[in-house]
Amino acid sequence: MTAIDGAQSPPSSPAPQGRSLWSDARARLMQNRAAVASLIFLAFLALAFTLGRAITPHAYDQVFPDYVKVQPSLKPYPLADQIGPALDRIVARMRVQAVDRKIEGDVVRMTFESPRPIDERLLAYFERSDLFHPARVVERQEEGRRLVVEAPIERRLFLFGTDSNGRDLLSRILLAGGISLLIGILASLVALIIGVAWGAIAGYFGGRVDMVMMRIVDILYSLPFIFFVILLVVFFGRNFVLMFIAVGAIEWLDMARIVRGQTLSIKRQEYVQAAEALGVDSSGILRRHIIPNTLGPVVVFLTLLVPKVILLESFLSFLGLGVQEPMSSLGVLISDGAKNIQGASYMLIAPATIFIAMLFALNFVGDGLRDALDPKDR
Amino acid sequence: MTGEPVLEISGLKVVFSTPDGPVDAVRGVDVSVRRGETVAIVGESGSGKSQMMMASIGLLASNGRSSGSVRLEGREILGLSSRELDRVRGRRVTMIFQEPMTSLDPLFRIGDQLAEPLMVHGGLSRGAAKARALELLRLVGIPEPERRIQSYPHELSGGQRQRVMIAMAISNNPAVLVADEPTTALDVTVQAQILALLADLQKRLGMAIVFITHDLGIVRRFADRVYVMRRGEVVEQGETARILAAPQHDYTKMLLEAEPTGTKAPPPADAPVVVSARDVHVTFKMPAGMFKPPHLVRAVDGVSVELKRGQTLGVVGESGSGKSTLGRAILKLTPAAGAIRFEDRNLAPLDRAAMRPLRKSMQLVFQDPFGSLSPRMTVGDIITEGLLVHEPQIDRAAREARAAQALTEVGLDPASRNRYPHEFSGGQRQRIAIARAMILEPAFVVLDEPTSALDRSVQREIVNLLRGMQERRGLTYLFISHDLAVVRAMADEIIVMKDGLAVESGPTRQIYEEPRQDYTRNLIAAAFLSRRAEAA
Repeated sequence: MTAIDGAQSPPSSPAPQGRSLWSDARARLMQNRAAVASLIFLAFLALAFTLGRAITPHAYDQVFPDYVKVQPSLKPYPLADQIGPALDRIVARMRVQAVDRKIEGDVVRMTFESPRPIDERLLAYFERSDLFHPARVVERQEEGRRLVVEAPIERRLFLFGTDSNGRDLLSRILLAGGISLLIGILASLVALIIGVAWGAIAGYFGGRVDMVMMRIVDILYSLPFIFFVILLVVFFGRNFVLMFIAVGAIEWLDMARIVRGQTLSIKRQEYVQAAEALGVDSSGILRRHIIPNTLGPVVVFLTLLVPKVILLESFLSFLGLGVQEPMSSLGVLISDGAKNIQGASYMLIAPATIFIAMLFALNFVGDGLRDALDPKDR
Repeated sequence: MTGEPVLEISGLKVVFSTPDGPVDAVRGVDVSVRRGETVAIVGESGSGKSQMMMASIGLLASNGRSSGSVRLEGREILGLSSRELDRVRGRRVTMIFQEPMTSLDPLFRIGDQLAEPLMVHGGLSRGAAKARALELLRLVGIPEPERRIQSYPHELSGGQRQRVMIAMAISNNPAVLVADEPTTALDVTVQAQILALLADLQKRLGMAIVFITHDLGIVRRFADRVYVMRRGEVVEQGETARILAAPQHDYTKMLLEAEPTGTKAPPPADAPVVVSARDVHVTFKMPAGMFKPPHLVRAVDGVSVELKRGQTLGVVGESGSGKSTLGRAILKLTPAAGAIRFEDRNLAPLDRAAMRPLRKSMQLVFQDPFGSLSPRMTVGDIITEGLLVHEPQIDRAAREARAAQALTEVGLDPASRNRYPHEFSGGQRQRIAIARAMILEPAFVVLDEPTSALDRSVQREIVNLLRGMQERRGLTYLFISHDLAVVRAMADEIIVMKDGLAVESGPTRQIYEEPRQDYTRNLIAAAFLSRRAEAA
């Protein structure tokens, strides 16, 4: 820098931002209605899975023995025809005689009679029932042998019904969906990180390194997946984290092959050779040139991998190798639903609908991304 | 050349709808082609010359819309359904393209590819089509047509493939042949043969040729009339001789003067030697197949060069002659045998890591301004990447300042450093690539066909830029090119390479005026088609 030193002027003026390929792709994605609608739907689902559980009135593991397998309903339980039998059960347990019972709005008014004085503690049976709030004695007559009792009816909403253990299916679906999505995303990220690093290194260095690394991939490919998972379960016990590892450990193989293929063509590009001519070391070339340029197909593969992993996890859970009670995943719920398909088909329909809608949306987003990132479009 | 017009284009407009709004590629063009004449359509890239002809025969990309009128032999063909167009295309009007590698289907023998349109359009039987295919191959001068008819496209050279394309195009005796830069992808000597073939076929078959090109040398020798296009409009038209002798429009004048001119002042005789390479050998080992033994390809076979400070050595030759490999071998980017010295250091024993500090002083500029810039990095990051390696102590603000300064030096707006390569034209991209090499203040730069992918007028600017930088900084260039017009404007000395060997070398003047080898003479003759025609 001899002749031009004098002309040097630091650029204080802010340089305008350019349009990167990513922002172009984003613009194209935003024009794809199916993809945008799917993105909004997925965002809504994610919100429901995280915040929704706080809003639903029942915890996912709360059991309502009186509401086993009740149908989905917009009207709060108990229904009118459930109150009578429930009261009959309570009266039978209390071993008293009910001489009078009136249902006035949300309150049941009953009169009990017994040959001996009635222990008020017996009223705990009301509290134990899922249908009533604790009962209150209105009037004691005949030295305690006649009792007038008021018990407010506890109204509960089961929009999606309850499962075979009497747990609110809506809460369980929200939990299960969240877990499925989380496993899908986390296992895909595990696959992404291992696969991209592995594939880029193998492809860039080539030769013997490539051969050894890809043979390892081939060996892992030849492991039967289910066998592998059963082995892991046997050694480490059933575990939530195990799912990520099992699924991620299998799915990164595809990713590594894709990235390696991309890398092989990218490393012939002149900008990589230019970087070599500049003296950039291998890690710099991998980080700045190879990996960013492989990311287009990788992102597409990733969005298609998430539903695939969710399916895999559901399959494992369906087999009983996955998530354990009281936690749940969509696969577990669908498995439960399948067992109760007669009589309680809603137990299958509700989680399966959410599951299918989620997979549809993820696939639409993946397709939209593929179109948006397709370099042939340029 | 009299005769009724066979192709009349009037008021043709082409609009492409893009995410950034509609783009007018062609803005109302009138072209008429008479029977049996050759019309050249000349313009730089982006002038709409190809799109105009593509629109005329209904081959626009799906986001393009055309309007106006195109009459082929008196019949309106614009807006015909693709079914009706198929009856016209391939029969009355055919097209050959720039890239003969991708225009042929790699899975079919060329005999079958030739015979198929004859059976579909010409209604010939299989045997008759085969016989005609053979006759066509003979007509376009393919050697040993009986053997070649059984070949697959990859077994043919680029020139032969282009001949096959021409054979396909003329197989149904079209009235109009549209040739879209048919020789641009070919070596200069092959170019001349293809042009001669086209001229000969036209004489024999009496078809009209519409020749789309950016090369005025071809126009001069080949065309009866010329249309000069710029930004989707015809700016000038007329007889070739008149246009070339007395251009009216400034743009035409600029195109005519766009050939790089001037020569370089030689370096002082006592200048120190910067780079010397003695007896460089590069051999690629082709791995053994299941049934064939490994064999060696000698890409560079015992070439020696010596460059003084401030000198430019031109390396010329056809594609495959090993000239790019020589450049890379000297930079130690390709494993090579031979004694290579840079300043006072012997490069031969150095490995990749040991070479790294030296990379600052030895730089490389590539041919393809589209492939040599990473599409996902900003221009500023691309230019300053070398600084990250060689001057890691300077901070981001200082790097930005250096980037802005480097951009200014190559004639670009420093404010463009946050933009991405795809937002620039080919010439601007090449300037960015030059800035990337020059920011490290190298002593020696290998320029690997830096102007070959560019329009003539841009070439000239790049040549001037490179010469200016050389003068200011006392740079040493190894200039690799197949384009002898550019080499003459750049180089002090020249080596001519063929099949990995240096067949001739000497001062530029001497090579151009008294070439000793036939090969050199052919290269020169082909590159200066225009001059020779003028002299004749």
